[in-house]
Amino acid sequence: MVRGLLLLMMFVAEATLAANSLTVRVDRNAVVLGESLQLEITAQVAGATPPLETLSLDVLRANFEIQDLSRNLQTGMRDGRLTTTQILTVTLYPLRSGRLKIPKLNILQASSLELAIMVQDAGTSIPRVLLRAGIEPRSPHARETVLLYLDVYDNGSLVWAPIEVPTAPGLYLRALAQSRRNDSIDGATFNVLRYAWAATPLRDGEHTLQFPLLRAHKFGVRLRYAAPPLTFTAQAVPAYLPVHVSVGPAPELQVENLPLENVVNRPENWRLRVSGTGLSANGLAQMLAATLGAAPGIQFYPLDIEAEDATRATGLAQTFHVTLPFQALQHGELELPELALPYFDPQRERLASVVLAGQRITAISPWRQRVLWGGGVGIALLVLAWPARRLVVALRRYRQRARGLRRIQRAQNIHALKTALLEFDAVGTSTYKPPPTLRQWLRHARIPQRLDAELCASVFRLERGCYANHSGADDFSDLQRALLWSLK
Amino acid sequence: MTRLNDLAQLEWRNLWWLLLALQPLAFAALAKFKRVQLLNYADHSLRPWAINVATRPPRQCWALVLTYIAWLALACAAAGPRLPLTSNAPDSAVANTHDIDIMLVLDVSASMLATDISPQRLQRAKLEIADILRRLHGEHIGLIAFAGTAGLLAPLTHDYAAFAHYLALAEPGLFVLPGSNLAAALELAYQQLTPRAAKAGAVFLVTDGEADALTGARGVAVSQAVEKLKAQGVTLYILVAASRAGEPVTSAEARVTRISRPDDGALRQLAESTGGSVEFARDGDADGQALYEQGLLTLPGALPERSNVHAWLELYPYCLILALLLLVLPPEAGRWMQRAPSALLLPCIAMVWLGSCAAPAQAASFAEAYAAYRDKNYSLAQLLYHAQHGYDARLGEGAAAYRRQRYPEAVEQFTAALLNARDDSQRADALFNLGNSYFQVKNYSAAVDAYVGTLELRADDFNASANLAHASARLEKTSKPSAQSTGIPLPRSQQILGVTAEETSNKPPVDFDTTREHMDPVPVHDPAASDAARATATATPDAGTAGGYRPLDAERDYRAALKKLELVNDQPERLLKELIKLDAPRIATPMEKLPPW
Repeated sequence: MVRGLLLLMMFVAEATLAANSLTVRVDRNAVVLGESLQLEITAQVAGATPPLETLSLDVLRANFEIQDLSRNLQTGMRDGRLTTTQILTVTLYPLRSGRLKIPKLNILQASSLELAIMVQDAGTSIPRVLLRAGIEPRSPHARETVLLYLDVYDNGSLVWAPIEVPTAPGLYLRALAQSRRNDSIDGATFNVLRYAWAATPLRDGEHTLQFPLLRAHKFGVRLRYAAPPLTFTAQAVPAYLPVHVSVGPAPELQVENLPLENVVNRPENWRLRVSGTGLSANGLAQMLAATLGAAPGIQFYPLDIEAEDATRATGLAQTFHVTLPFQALQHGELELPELALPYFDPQRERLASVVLAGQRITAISPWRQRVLWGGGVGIALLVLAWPARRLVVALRRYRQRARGLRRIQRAQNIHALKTALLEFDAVGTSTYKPPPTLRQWLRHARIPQRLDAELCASVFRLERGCYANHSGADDFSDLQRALLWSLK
Repeated sequence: MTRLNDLAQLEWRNLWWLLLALQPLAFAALAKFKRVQLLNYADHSLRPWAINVATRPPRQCWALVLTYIAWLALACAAAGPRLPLTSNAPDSAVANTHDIDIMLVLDVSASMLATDISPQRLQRAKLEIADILRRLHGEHIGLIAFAGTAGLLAPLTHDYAAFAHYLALAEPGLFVLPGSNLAAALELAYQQLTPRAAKAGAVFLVTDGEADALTGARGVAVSQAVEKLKAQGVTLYILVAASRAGEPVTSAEARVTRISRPDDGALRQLAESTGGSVEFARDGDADGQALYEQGLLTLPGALPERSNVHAWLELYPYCLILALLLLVLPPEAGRWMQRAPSALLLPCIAMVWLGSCAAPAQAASFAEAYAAYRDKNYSLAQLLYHAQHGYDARLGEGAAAYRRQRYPEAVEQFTAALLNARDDSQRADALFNLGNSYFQVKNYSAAVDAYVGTLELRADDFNASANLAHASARLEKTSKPSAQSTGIPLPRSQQILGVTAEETSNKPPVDFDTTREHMDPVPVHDPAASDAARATATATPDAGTAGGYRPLDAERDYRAALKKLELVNDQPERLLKELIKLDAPRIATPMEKLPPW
């Protein structure tokens, strides 16, 4: 009885093992790093359940990148029993060169054989490719923006596709432009393609960055390369340091445009250019708002920050254009407040500030300007009017005296001479009324001291002549000349 | 002071008290009744012998009027006139509310990039709107931008900060179709205002008034849109952000240059047909005043909901003062009034002056703030320092907050002082005070860092050394895991810089050197307290603990998340552009091709 049962169990087990099989094979046993190989996994089991659905391929990931998967399922009768055959074709890219193993795979008490793949650094048509990743500086601080690069060394015959921006927890990356250069390693010349990112570790501690597969092709052959992961440690910054304060070298703060002459109550733009690493528009806005003090007589509006397009930048520094709209509220010399950009200097591990000293501007009030201009013109006119009036008066008096002198010169007799002398304006007033007598005329006449005696003598001679019975022609002419000489 | 426009919302605490104003009339009626009764006592011929009529001279007409006004003012005071002060946000100050809907329509067409007004048409328009935003009295305000099409950027809201955010995003790049489709914008404004037709509404149009947009078929469409607004009772106010002379604008696509000049007449006609007005952007506040104070603010606002009324502005003192002034006037005042009626203005001026005395005090100087601090009036000192700018103000405000045991506020202010510091000495002072504040909120890690920073800047600082040792000991003690520190963390809002609010509220008595808050201009120093602190603090700093920064994990994660938020550019302009594209088919499209400006 017992023997019978044992025989039955052995028969069932043998039948089951004979029905389940797992075979693994590769399309080639030797590849060049970058090339793909096809792994075909074939499983045959009794029953209708697809056998490879539960197969874990994670064991392959230690040495290979699984690029593609395709499944083929066949169900049929074999020896009167239902059997299912499933074929899984996997496209693999080796992660490194050397002898790589495809370990045993197990499924439903069936196991495959272990395979070995020889991966060479270079082949006849595929060049040697070296990948080197790193950061500069090697030991950054948390929130410090550093250069993360991945250098691809080849002989220049490969065409590389753009790489996706890698993602890692606790790390912020901004893509920089690619660059190329030539380099030599061990006497061999390489064409170096550099993928670069501005990397900002968001927190201190260890960070590990996995790069996505690098894709290249050569004459239609698709190649894939795996870059080694990059691990680095970020140093802590003081816990009291506000998040928006940049960590890195001192930013540059330049004035792009500052209208030095402004109109009162008219908005103007104060434009600044800020360049530095680890800056952001939000952070800049917070820092400037915190340090922008009040300026008497100036009203500021909310600032506007525009980042310069940095998609083609190769350096870490970013440039921001800050527009600070303001308006002067009063006329005169006004001083804009000084601006300060605090930053944490990772070299000295201290907080520092870049300060833009307050600048002076002049605010003019159009109304005040007009009033001042009008007043100035009025005063100037007044100033000019007085000498002009003096000049006109002097001119008028000169002409009046000239007329009087001509009248004296033209006098034909002593009475005409007397009349001409009385009408001669010796006072120089505009409302001159001829006095009735010569003595009164003489009393009012404004005559220089040195001529006073001569003029008096002439006037007395004229007076006497007027009342004399006769006077000679010579005497008249002499008197006329004497008067003209005295009055000129 | 209360504006006359606000009196539309006047309420009375108890209107029945107004019957008190009838008291003089009742007395007059009673006196007349008594006199008639008295006169009926005897015949007319016998009255001089029967009745001893009072010889008091009759009162002057002016005196009677003044007496009646006094009683009326008393009645008003008793009835309790008051204005509702409302607030929509829990943390905002209460204020008079003018509850109307304003849809702001902003032109962002290519011609708005002209620079004929300083600094640029579009930027000037935004600055003018920012000025008006500051004047608002609780109005709902929405934002529509338009170029070749129109798009709703912000629906009607009380959230002026959100409005300002969307205002900054209004740029010509939001619209694919160039041009000035004013009719579409007004139609969209009409659609937004119609569901809320129960309230008064207004459209505030800010445009350069491009003449091309107001002529031909486009002009007809605009007129029709304005007619619809008028039928709905919506008033149109227009601010022209352009000079009358205009400026040449060039279309890059059409390679055409022409003068972009506002059509003043057409704009005026549109606005005045709805009862609104037009103003050109001018230097100063005159344009804003004309459109808001004399325009929008005169529109009748809906009475605020009772649930929003948080306080009342009581007006009875004004009435009471007027009544008392009139009642204590001497009898001769009536004759003065008769001779000089303008003297009536005197009590009015006095009342206005007394009312204006209740206005909040103007910003005080540093000296006043420091005097308040020295007088231990820390609340006032904090308030006064808050109005000032710069390192000294932040340090003073932080010190006042510290004295009031408002440590999170102290942390905020000392951090601001640290950023405003110009030299190492100032930084050392700010860091020392920051360390003390962090210690009080039990963020020992930050406190240790701050003291280390102080010692790096001022190596011989004994107080910083003592406090550093003390904080290091606390940090070491708290860094050991305890039963209380495990479990689900509290929401972020309940934490203060990595420390729970509960921990902060259960703080131990101050046993710390907090005596070196540096004030402007004289540093405060309390030797007695300092000695006590030194007695409790260890003199030798623990260099091993102090040298390394050890922030809490939660704090590190929070700061990492904040930094990522700061660095990530979510590009709201693109989102808005796509939204406008989606909305565009629902808005009237132009029948003809628009000029590109």
